[in-house]
Amino acid sequence: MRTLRVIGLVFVLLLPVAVFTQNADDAAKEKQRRREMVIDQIVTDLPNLTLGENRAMVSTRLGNLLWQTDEKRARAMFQTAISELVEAQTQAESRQTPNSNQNELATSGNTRPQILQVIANRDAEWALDLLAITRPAAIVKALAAAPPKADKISNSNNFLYLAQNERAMEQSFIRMAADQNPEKALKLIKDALAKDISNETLNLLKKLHQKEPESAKAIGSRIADKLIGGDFTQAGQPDHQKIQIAIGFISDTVAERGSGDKTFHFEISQMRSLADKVISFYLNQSGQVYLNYSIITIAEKLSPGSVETLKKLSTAMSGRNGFSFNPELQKLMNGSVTAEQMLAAAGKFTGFERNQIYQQAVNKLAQEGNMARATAVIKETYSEDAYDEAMRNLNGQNANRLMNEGKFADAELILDEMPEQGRLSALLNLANTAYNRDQVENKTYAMAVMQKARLLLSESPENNAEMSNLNQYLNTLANIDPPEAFRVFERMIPKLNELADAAAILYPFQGNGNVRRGEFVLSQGYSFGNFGADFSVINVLARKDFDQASKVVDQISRREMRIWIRLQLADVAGQ
Amino acid sequence: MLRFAAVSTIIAVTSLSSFAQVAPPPPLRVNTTAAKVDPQKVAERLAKQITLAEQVLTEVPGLRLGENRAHVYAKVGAMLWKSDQKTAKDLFQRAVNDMLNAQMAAESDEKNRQNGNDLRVSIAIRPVVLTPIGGFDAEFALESLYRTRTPAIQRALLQVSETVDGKVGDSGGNSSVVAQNEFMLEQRLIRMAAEQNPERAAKLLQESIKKGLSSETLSLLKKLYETDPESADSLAAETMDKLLGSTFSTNPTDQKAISLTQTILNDSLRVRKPGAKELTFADSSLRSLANKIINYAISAGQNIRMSGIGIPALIKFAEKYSPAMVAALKKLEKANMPPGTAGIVPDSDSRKLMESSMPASQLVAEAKKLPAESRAPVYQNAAMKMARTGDYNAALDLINANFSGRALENAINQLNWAYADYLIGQGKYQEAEKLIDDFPIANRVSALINLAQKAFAKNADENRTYSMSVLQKVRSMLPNRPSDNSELIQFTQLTSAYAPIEPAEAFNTFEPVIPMLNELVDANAIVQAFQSTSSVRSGEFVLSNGGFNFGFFMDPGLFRNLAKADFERTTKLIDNFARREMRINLKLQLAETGLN
Repeated sequence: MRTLRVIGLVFVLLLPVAVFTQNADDAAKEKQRRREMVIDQIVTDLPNLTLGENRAMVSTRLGNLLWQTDEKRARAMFQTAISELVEAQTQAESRQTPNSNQNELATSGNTRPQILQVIANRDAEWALDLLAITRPAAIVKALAAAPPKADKISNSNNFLYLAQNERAMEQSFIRMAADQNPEKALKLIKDALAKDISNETLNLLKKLHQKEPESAKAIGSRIADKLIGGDFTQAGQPDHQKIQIAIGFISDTVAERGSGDKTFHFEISQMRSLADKVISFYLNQSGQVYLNYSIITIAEKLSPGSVETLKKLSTAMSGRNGFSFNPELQKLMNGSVTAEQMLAAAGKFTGFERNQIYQQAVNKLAQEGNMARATAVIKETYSEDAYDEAMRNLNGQNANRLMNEGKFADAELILDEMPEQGRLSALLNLANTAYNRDQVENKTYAMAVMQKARLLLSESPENNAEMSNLNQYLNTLANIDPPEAFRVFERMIPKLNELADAAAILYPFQGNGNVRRGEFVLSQGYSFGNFGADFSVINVLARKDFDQASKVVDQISRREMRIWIRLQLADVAGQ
Repeated sequence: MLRFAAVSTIIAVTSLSSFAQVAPPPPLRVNTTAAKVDPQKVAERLAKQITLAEQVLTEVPGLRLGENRAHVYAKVGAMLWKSDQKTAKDLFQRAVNDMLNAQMAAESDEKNRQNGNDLRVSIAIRPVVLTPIGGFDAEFALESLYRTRTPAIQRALLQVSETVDGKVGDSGGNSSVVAQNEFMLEQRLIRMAAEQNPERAAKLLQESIKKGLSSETLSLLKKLYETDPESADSLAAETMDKLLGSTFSTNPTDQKAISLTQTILNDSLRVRKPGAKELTFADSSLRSLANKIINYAISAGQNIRMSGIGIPALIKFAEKYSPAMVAALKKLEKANMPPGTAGIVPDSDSRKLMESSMPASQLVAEAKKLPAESRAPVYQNAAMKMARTGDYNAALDLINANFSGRALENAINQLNWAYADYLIGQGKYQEAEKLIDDFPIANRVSALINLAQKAFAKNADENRTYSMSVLQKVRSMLPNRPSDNSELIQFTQLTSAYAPIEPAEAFNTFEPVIPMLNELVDANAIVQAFQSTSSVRSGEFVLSNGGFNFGFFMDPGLFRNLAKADFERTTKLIDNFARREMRINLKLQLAETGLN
């Protein structure tokens, strides 16, 4: 009997664990079901995409999604992507029309780097092999091109840039391969460093230094010598990439390091020589090359004698509205200076700089809660439109402060007085802050604020700004009232469909590379025409009701848009 | 006369719909003094203009935007001024009224503030309405300028002339630009008023110049010089002092001084008729001014790109007034060449040789003395000269000896084009055609069209069949419908080429393209309106914003060529465009410049 009681007790105690495990299993199964459902939908739709490069992009994203659960299928997807990419590139190369907008494919502009980068994140050694297999003819030619002959004109600059980009990509994959496969790392890195200098060189040296500090030092020294002995121009034009790399090396070397830091850095004597070379280059160009302002910080450490001259050069290179990089201004703006100290110092600066200082001082005063002084400063320093704008900003800050203190009604009173333009985002911020502070107690209040915000919006957005406003509203609403958010989102879709269709007709005619053969090019970004729409809200909605979100996506009429958004859903489904 | 009455009726009807306060105009009268040159041609042209004016005025009430109606009324008024001043004046009045209403609506539309911004600050609309009016009735245009000054412009003018105790009045920095534009427009209208009313000219001009500087100041001084040289010289000296004492920077407020400096220095380089009495500035002052702008440009370095100063012009100033600075400016020019253009775009050294009349052999010899990166355009130029005189082999040798890779391909393509042109000039059409057949596809269409046009121009009767066959070949190379702007341009070129040879074929080529253009322009209206550009408002393209920004390039010369061949059918063709503002715009263009 006692035994039975013990068994009964154990059973009762283990029951919640079993239920929990059961629930967790169910949730995992549900996630898996959703993920598979979305992936199946994408795979079914995929062959119907017009552009091979789009099929390649989608296959890559699918491969990436599948990698952790089914590596074999993921590799097959990557392989499909590569086949589609090569085919699309070959077609682009064979097209003769000058304005076919295919150049990006023929010169490895976007699609190829994006695809290879995703594959490299999973298997960089394979990506390195694919890098060679997928190389378009223009890149092969650029890599093979001999340096331009001095006695002939070849217009080879474009070739040089193509080759530089390709080598940088290769070095980046080698670094990734070394991370993924430590055994082979040393050989890979040494081989890469022997080839050329790129933005990746410093990372590779650091990686090598972890295994073989002496080798890293020796190779680093050779590379530094190469830069010191080289030239910062190419065919008479500044070689911005090389200048950038040199500044990167020096900045890294002179950066503050902890006392126990043993990571790679170049020899300081070499970096001093390199800094002198870069500084001389800038000074010889007399401001005719854009100044990388890091050189002033570098000069302060390695070549103090040049600092004043560089500062003068920086001031002379004043841009539009009198703007220039002024290290004194940066010190004042970034340092631990009080608002009153800033105001006292403002008189020494130019009009444009003074305006920046006043704005920052007013912000500081507002953050400290000293609204009376902030208002007084605005009255003293601004007039007309600028006064109105400054007061709007100040009121916005004041309202934010009150929101953070939980004084929602007080904040709302200020927002009610704001001009319509800035009021919407402020109200949404208020609703969000209140709701996040206490989702039960403040839900009714947050919903009321959302109602007020809704009154500021158009029923149907007529321009980018209105669409963007509606999206802001939707992003907040998705959190507070998902059913209403679904309704609002669904009402937006016909307009988005109309706009995307119009853009798909117009863009290719105008030579805009975002659309080819009537289809948006997926590697060109996520804009579908840049109409102020932000489809990331579908992620928030999917977390609330996945199946409904999936149905909403079905209403998007363009296949490539649907597929691209479903890829987002597949990401969410797995979370 | 019936037609003029029709115009008046249309105007009367539109007046009821838009501006009842303007009385209906009397019938149009023909200005008979204009008929001195070639009475029949002038009468024909006038009749066509009136036809187009009638058609346009019938459409105007259907335009949704007041600013569009204002733009069209001003243009039609300017067109009719010489034949019927009374109607023109009435249309000018309507234009101003419509513009005022549009501005007031924009001022009160807080919601679409950004969208109506150009109406509030007069970026585009007031100049395009008031300038054509000013061309004929500048006093009225000036009066309207003051009447239509929006509060935003008035604020901008106040901020510029009265700095409010050093306070920041406009953190965006737009006020000075708005004020400058306004001031420039005012000076332009005053110059026009002086031209139209010589009695008041001196007073108007003196007042205007004393108000301040703008890029119009030199024109005003020159105009004043015609009636009062002494005052003009004295004001010119004052202007020079102001320029020499002003600050040059990329700040928008300094742009008018920089712009006027360039205008004055450019004008000083102009070759003058010997003995002609003209406004002149002292040489020493011009030298100081040249040094001032050159020093500024050199200190600005790469930011020179943002200052609106052209380095080639500066080099010319330096060559005359400050030779010691030429080398520094040449260095600046090289540093400012966009990446990848060195050796392609000529610099000042290569440009100087290319602008000379040296024979090809001398050009080659001189090119060798230039730095390597400056030689390419000169070699190319010399090779083209050789090809144009028939010495193709020597030209090819020169190119092969000095170019490689893609530069070589481009150079040979250009050379072949020049040689084909030479063969065409020699009447060796078949030989030229054979050469063109090997051109890259992008050049082939234009080259064949050029061949057909030139053969026909040489002897219309003898070469008609040949030209037609070449154009048929071009047609077979084009797709059924253009799929991008480049192909649309090729269709347009082909249509223009057909027009004088076989008008029916021209219309048959272009008519089927119009439905596609209608689809495109509608798509563009949706996209532009949504992207909040000022190109489309209330679903209608804003005509003052370039007018032809319909989403594709439409060469106005096309309708000019078609109208020469068949005016009636051209107007009907234009009527096939679905959007009213497009029909109006094309007809206005045709009436203004397409009937000569």
